[in-house]
Amino acid sequence: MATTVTLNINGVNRSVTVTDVNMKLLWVLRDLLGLTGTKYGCGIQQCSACAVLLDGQNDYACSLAVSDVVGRKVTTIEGLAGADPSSTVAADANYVMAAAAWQQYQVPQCGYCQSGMLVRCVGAMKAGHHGSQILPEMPNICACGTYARIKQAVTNL
Amino acid sequence: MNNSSKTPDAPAVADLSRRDFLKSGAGLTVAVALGGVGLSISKSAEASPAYPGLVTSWLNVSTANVVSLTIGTTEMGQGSRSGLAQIIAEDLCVDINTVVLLQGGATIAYTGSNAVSRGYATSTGGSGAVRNNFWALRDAATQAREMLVLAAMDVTGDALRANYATVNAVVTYTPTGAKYTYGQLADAASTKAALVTGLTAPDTPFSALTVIGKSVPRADIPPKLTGKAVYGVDVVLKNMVFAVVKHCPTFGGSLSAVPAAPKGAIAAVPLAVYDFTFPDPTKNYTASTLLKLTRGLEVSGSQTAVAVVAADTWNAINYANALAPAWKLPAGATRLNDAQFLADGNSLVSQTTLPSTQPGIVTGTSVTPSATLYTVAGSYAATEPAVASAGQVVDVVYTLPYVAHAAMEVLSCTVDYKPGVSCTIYASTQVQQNALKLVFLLLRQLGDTTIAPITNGVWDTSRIQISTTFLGGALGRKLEVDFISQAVQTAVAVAKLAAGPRPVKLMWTREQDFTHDQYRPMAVVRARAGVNGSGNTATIAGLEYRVVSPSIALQRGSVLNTNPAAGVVGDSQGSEGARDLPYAMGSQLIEYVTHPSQIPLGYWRSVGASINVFAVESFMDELVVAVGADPYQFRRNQLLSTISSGAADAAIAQRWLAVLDSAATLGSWGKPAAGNFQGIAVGAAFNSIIAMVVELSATATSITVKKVSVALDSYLVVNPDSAIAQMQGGVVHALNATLYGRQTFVNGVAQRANFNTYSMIRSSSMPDVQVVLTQPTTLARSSVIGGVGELGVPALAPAIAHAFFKATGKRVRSLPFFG
Repeated sequence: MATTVTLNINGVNRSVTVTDVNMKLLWVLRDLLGLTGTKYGCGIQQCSACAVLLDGQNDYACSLAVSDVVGRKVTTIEGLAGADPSSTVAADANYVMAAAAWQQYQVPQCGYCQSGMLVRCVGAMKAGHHGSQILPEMPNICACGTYARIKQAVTNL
Repeated sequence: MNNSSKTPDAPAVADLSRRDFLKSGAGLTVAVALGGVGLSISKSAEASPAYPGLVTSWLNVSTANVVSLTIGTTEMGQGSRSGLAQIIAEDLCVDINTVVLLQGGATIAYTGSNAVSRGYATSTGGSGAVRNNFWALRDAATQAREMLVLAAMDVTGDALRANYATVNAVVTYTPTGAKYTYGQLADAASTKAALVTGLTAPDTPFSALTVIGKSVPRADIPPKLTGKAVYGVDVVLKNMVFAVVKHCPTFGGSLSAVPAAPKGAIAAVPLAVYDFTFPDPTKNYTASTLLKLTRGLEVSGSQTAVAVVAADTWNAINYANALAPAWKLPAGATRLNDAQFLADGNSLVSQTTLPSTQPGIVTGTSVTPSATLYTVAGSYAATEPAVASAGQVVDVVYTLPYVAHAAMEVLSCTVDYKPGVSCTIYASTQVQQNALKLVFLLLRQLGDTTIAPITNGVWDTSRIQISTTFLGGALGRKLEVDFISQAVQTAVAVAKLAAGPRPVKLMWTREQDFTHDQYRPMAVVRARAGVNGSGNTATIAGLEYRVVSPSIALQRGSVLNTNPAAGVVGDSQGSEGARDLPYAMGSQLIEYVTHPSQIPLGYWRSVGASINVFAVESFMDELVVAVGADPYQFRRNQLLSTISSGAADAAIAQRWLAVLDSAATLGSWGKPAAGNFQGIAVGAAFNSIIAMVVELSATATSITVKKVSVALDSYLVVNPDSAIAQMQGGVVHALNATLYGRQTFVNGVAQRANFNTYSMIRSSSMPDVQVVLTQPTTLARSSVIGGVGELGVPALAPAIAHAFFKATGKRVRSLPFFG
């Protein structure tokens, strides 16, 4: 049965109508709010392409239900980058550092997994991890094989 | 705006599409006003006779001093877009960061080998985006530059070329220092085309190149850091509905009856297999004559899947999961089992009667189970006595599994179909021209009579648009158009609903992606050789090599070549990496046998070389062990023998030797860190040569690859940093396949459906990868530029296999190691 809920996405309260409060956050973001930076990769918490921050901590949008995130703060790659057109929140300071390192080391190839990579990197930084400590917090799958560049990029974060 | 002329195949709407992508932040280029028309290099002189009016610019210098290049290649992470811009920047003498890149649309008319560089998207594969377009782009930039100088000469009245310099989009008249921007000269320059006809870029000393061969940042990276890059699965259109595909789990199965749409869903659409051959466009074909048997047990026209359409992807997935249609299963499905594949492969690879009945090049012989032997090179009569009389005979069998592509972006296509008006396809595709042909034929097949029939060889595709998004990985899977066909069928069905036409985004779930892939073929390989002597100076008396593997080309309806004078006998990818070896091997017999398995097949990064380089180089190491040699020195000596013999392949052997030496030096061959073990391998594919030294530690049940040292000779590398990224990525792709990559089958049902059962390595397992690249002394048109994108794959597995053998004493002859 259709339900309208308010979700805090990238610092802005957004009203969405879902058929079912079990609907996963990933599809709310992508299909209902047009925030397509968060990617579908596996749907079962294996690849981390769907990584988002929930109250500042790493989580999986593919597995979080709408009912799980009501009253909490969701941050997507667009939010971290200051690139959510519905939000005026500026880019996250940790993200700015991480993205600069990603640019410096020319990390992305196809780029599809990189939203999730950057989100999890920033989530790890927010949790107090630095440099090579960040890597274990990033179990993301990259089929292009950008891992070598990611290892370089996190070194000075 | 981009100054495309309006023609039957490149209507104005094509440019609108490009601009839409600019506005939508697709990140394919920098959104700027391009300014007035100015100077353009057009396709006019190259247009097909069937399309006399086809004139569209692809390299443009506008009056606003903006250089734009319309690129027909697909960007899937390989970085070729920036590589192509570098080529233009070099000879046009402009800052690469100012070159505006536009994604070309698709056309039927263009089929030339350089077509992808001419602004029209045709196809991208075979590690060819840069190398196949290199000289065409250099020539075009050279002509444009000289047209601009000619225009400057009109202004100064001085026709002495030596008095003009071209730097950073400015022509300087050196006697006075007067400067003219390209934009100022562009209109006048546009009249000079006739004066530069046939002008070509010169051979150039590598040291004189300023942009080509230099690492430059890739233009496609910034939007990939913000979530703003638009992939096929990210296309959003107003009023769009969402479709998710559910296939019959069994290959070749089809719907017994069309299921009703689940309650709450918008529709359940049966999806048929429509796989068209992609014929000569000058012929008058009708769609129905182009239907053909395809993909193993699947029959063209049969309904093998359902698309469930809903208001969002979440609901579509749930409806699809709950749907339980009745399927008719093909009789042959019970043969589609791993054990059967192996039994058939082992039978075919070991039938000793085969070679004894095949003197010389004999092909087309039926054997049991149903298969055909193709003798690619040599003869049994010549080779067997040399092998049999040698001091030692080594005879082993290698097996390789079906491997899934597992690109991170699942297959997705969005169709905006307005019956009688237009049909726009947004897709992550490597094959825009095939997609255009498919959609054209399919719409007519599905009853859209407003799509004109082929008349006098002309396909009027003016109502159809193919818009290429970024690709979230492809690895060969997006050379297929199955998902595009399904999206069109769904959009046509949705258009017939009471609500009327709506855009449809069709997506496969990860489970569908893994279980309905078109897999890298499995293979069983037998290698048998005689060796004489011992140690590093031992010699190979003869090699008998047979690869038994299902043929991709045969499954797609090709007739395999049986005439050695006409090219490679059999499926050329079947023996890729095994034929034309420059080692001194005495007499060589290379055979290819078509394995009868009917699992759907596709092109997977490095294709046949991924099979044969593993087998050939593993076998070299087995010879090394048999004679007590060093893997590096033994290979070296076989190459030196070829070089000193002055054989026809001596020059190639010299290049192999250089690459092998480079990798050995880079990887400190023979001096692994304590507790580590090394392996080395070399191979060739796509006109390039690759060598790797692997250093790892291992137990019987685990491998930790510490370091991979890579040497690549592709003749020329345009963007070294991109090439290094491709080698690093190739190592990961190969590591996935070597350690874990395998799809398994029970009665025609693929068993591994997601990353929890189909493992992929993570960053924590990433070895240190060092790369050394070869560049020419003088860049010469007469030399062949090799591919880069797929080269990082083939040599890794055999190098790991030998290092693992050194560490554990166990020789692994069946991939993957674990899984």
